[in-house]
Amino acid sequence: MLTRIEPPRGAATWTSFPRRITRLRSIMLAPLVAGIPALAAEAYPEGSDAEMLPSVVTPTRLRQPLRDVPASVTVITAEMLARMGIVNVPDALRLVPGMQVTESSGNGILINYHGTNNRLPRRLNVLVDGISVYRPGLSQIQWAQLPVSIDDIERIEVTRGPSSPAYGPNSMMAVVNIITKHPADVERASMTAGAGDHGVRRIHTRVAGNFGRTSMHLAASAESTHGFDAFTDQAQGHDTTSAKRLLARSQTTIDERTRLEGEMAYVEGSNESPFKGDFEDYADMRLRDFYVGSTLTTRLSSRHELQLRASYSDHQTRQEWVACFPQAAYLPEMFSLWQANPNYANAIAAGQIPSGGTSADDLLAARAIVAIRGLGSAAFQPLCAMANQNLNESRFDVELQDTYITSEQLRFVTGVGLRHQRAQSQTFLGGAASNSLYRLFGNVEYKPSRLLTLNIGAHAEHDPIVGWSLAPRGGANLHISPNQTLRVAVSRGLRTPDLAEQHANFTYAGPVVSPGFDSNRMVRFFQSAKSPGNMRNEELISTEVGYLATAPAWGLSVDMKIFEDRLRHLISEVVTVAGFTPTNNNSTTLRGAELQAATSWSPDWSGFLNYAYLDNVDATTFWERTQYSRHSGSLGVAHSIGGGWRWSLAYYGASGNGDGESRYGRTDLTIGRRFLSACCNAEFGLTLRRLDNTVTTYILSGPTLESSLDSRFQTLAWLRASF
Amino acid sequence: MAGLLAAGPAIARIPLRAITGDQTPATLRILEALKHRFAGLLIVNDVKAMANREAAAIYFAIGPAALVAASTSGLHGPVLSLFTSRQTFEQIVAKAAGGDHSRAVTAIYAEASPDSQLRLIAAIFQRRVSVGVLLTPATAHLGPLLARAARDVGLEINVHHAAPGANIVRELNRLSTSDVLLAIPDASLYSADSVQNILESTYRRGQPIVGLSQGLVGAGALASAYASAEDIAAQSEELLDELEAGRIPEARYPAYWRVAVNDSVARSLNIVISDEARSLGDRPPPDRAR
Repeated sequence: MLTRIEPPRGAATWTSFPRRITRLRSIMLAPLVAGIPALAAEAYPEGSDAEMLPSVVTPTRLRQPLRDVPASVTVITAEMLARMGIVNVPDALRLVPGMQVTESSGNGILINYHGTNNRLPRRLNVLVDGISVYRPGLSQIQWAQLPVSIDDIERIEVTRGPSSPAYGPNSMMAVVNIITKHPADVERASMTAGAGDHGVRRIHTRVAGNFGRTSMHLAASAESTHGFDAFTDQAQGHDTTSAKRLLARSQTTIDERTRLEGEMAYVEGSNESPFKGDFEDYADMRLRDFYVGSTLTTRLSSRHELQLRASYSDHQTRQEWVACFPQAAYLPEMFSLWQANPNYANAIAAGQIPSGGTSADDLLAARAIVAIRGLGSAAFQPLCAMANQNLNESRFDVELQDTYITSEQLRFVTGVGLRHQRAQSQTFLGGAASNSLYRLFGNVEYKPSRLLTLNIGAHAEHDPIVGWSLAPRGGANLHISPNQTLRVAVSRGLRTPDLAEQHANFTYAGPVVSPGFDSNRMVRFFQSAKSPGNMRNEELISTEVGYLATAPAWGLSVDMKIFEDRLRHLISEVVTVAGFTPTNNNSTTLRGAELQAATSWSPDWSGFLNYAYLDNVDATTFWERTQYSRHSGSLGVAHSIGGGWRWSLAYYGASGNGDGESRYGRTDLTIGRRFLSACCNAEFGLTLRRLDNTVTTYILSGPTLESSLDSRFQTLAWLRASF
Repeated sequence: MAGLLAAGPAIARIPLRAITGDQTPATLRILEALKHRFAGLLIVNDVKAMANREAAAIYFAIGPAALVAASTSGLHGPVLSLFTSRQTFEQIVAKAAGGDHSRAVTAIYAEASPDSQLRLIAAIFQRRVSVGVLLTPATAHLGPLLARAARDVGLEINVHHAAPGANIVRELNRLSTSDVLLAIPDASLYSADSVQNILESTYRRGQPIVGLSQGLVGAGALASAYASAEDIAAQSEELLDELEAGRIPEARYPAYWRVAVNDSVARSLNIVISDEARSLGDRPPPDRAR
């Protein structure tokens, strides 16, 4: 129990259209003859259409072309995912330079941009259509139970760098913005089914329709995997992972200026826990998540837009198992002793006489020893009781955003928001904890000349414990030619301590299940932990110099950057019942360079090259180096052969220089064919995968652990039809 | 025409008349361009009265409404349709085909030719890209022309034939792998009801649209080849020779065209459009007033 129990890880009108298309631009010519194409030929000035264009929305909340963005951004499209045979989001993120992805089990997916603490990958925010899936209680992201299937995704935008200035404290290292397919864009119906080795199964179906001014789609999906075949000291794999989802999305055009978007998702899943201890059974987890969100966007004028967004998410985690410890471990006297002096309690549990404490400790120790002796030989007989890490988390978020374009040179986005979050868990919190956070944010884009784009932004948030915190960013993009931009950005990223870090009151209590005992009897394990409750924000000061270039003749785009990230006030300690003394005492510095290149040099050929070099230096604790690859990257090429056939070949690798961390390498060969007919589309794909290593090593809490596969080869196949 | 003008001053000219369907700024600007090139041009306000009393003339029908009026009013003289799309021109002429006057109608279509649009795409992307085109039964005949034109400029063409009445935005899924969409004038595709949704949908995919016109570029397409009022007026002058000689030339696409670019859209889609692409087109020779 001392090391085992941890929190879950986590016209013909060829010219003109009527006035009601004002959102695009007021076009002044009306059709001359009803039902007959209109006359036109009005010259329209170039200008302010760009604010409605979804180029890259993420980094500043302004819609900006890449050349004006004060950060490095990776965009992964649905077409790229299909072409490369990628079937889940963690694998998609291997395409992001500098993204560290560690799979400790089928559901133990640990992802952080630039790595650092493998136990606590909680410095990365993930948004699905603007709704955060970052859980407020324990800062977890359940990657296997995201509310979207890979088939729901239109594109993934990853801002590689602090995004707190735009998205708040949880976007400290980066933000992953998953944008789902728009209800107006998808086919009327589609179905995808896939299967592969290691028990990979997935199915996805979607229907879509238009109802008056409303477009909507409803998608249902299910997927599962058996995960690894063996773990450290566990000859059999026990990490089967499953998820079932319902996703609905709608858009209603209320009038020519106003539209309402809605989204609802429901996820049920289960995560088998790969380990069981000498005294405990597998602590499998069942999850149930519900998300609902709505966004009202109204254009007050061609230069002024208001957006009101509200969302609510509810996460229920049920993790219950049987723990059979010696009866002495459940004595109230031992519990009291632990709270006074954990070393004393541990000594007695080990059959030793404690010493060196206060007289009060000695007195409590004497009482505990008397109680143990009172049990006689039964003190060392196992008593089985239920243990749980059940947790209910919820978040309500409302935000008003105002975008104003004063001119082509000057654009603003400002906003206010409120987030109320709550967590309830007898085990982690001894009840419930909640807080309400208020925020203000803004970003100004200023173009003093055609050669320069300046961005200045900040996000201020008030947390009841931390108080006000400010995450600013400044960036300058120098357009040295139409195809080349030099970028300098300095930003501060923050992570607000989660509810457990501030309010942890960690105890295990549950009913006795051993035969012959009163089943109504409740027992409490002697160990406990309590947060001091005064944690401050983790902080990151990031400086980057970037270079963006395009070569149209080659269909080539290149983004390079060098950076330094100084992480301070890190809370490197994990919440465990055996000891939780969180501090803000740790720090580390990350330096490196990244390259992202993609080319589509003909309709038949495309390719990409991503590489990251990372130096993790001056870490004050080895935990901040447990997820760290000095070299990582990916390389791929795709080719359409003709007749609907295509193939792709890709390699994904990471050197794994972190403490206890193994090297990762994977080669995927994907072959597919697309069939087109007047009524429908069909396509199939087959991916042959080869892993460089069948064993993955990592450190989570104690010694280095291993997860292993029986074979380095894996086959995945899928079939999709749409109408 | 140029030859006639050069031959000597004593040639008797057939009167020129312009028929309009409205007085919108666009129509007035077109009229201005025609008047600038044809000094004696008169505007016809009452087409039926004109048909009853005047001797032979050459009529410029500006826009679809004017073409409808001209092709059904029994005018004495050939009609040159201007600023009406090919599809609309063919519909109107077909509808009026039962009358005696439809045979004397020709056109310079409003839209730039597919060849021009494809040349523009090739110039913008500077490499071989796939061009998606939605066609309906009304425009299906353009398929071979598009394929040939694409081949000539080194582009790959993906044609999807949409059923009449289909949801166009969802049909675009069939062209989702194309690098760029080419919009061809088609009333059943690009209507007031659909164009906003089409543009927004393609933006969401990061897929640029090229075509149909300068107006669509203003509305949010990336770029288009287009013929200005002055270009059309210049080409009209060149057709007058045949019309005056009593011959009705084939309806045709504009011979002169230029390029409209929406720079905001280009920036948003991270596309850099070169000066060479912007200056693409064929310009008319300096005008000489008739």
